[in-house]
Amino acid sequence: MSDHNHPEHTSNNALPKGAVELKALVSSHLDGQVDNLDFNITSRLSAARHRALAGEQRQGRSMGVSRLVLTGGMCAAILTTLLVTQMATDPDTSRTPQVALMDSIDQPGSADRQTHLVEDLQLLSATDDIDFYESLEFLEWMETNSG
Amino acid sequence: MEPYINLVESLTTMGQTERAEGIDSFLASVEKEAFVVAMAACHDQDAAMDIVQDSMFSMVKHYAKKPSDQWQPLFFKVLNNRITDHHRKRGFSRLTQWFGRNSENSESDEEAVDQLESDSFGPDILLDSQDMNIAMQEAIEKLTFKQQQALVLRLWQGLSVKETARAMGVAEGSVKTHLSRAVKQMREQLKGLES
Repeated sequence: MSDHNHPEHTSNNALPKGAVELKALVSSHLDGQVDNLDFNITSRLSAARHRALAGEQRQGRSMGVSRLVLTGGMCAAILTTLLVTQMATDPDTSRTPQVALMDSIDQPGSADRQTHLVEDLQLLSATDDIDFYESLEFLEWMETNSG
Repeated sequence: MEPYINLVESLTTMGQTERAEGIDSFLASVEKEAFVVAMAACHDQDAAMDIVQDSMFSMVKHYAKKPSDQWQPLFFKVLNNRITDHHRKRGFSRLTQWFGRNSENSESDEEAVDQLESDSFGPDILLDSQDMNIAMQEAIEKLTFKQQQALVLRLWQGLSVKETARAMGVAEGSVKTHLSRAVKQMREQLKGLES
């Protein structure tokens, strides 16, 4: 007898209609991708796992200060390019680039473009050292599991 | 950097041989799936391999001593962060796609979920298996990173909404939105193909 009071069995976890049908296709496809990995890949993965268990961190993984500066600078450059591009294609020269850019985001058909843009800008604007994320993961997990 | 003690040895010394073997078994069970996920996200075999190894290292270093029922969502959270870091290193991730993208989707989050629930992902796609594999892979790779994660974690890994939200670092409502959009995108991609 299933426990209907268990959090995992609530309607919150029910998949929408379209997702239920897609689930089988996605699972079958991705399971197939796993099964078709060649020996070179599977042996490298096994070796990587053994190195991880032995505590051997991959060389050159740390995020140096120079890369943080480069990432931040790239973000600024991309934002500038976006504004200039929008200004160049905007027939209404009375609008400022910022207003034109926001108007374009509000245009029909722009929701997905906005989603991609927001995700990408979030990625690029974050300049935290990766070690910060390792600590953050642990702290977040502690927070959600406390109390 | 503090000296790192071999986890297996440390856990064994502490009398936790079963836990050491458990984390090894767990990682062995997810390493291929993690690689497939990383490949779909970054399209680079070497990068995907690095991402998976870094994730396993982080998992062993920080979370091996957590309860084993938390390992799966924790591991995919770590994997998600490593993939995000990879995209940041690349610098321009999907911004180049943004310039060329021509989406007609103007729905709000609520509309996206409502529309999905009224449509069915019907069996009106008749493709041979090879074409379907190619079509499925292309459709998955065209999703945004968060849509991919919601799709993979909810539909393939079977994580709950709560676990998926933790792994993705978003609210539970956002998980549903990303998933509904992912399914809709997949449906549109695959329905565009003829038998």
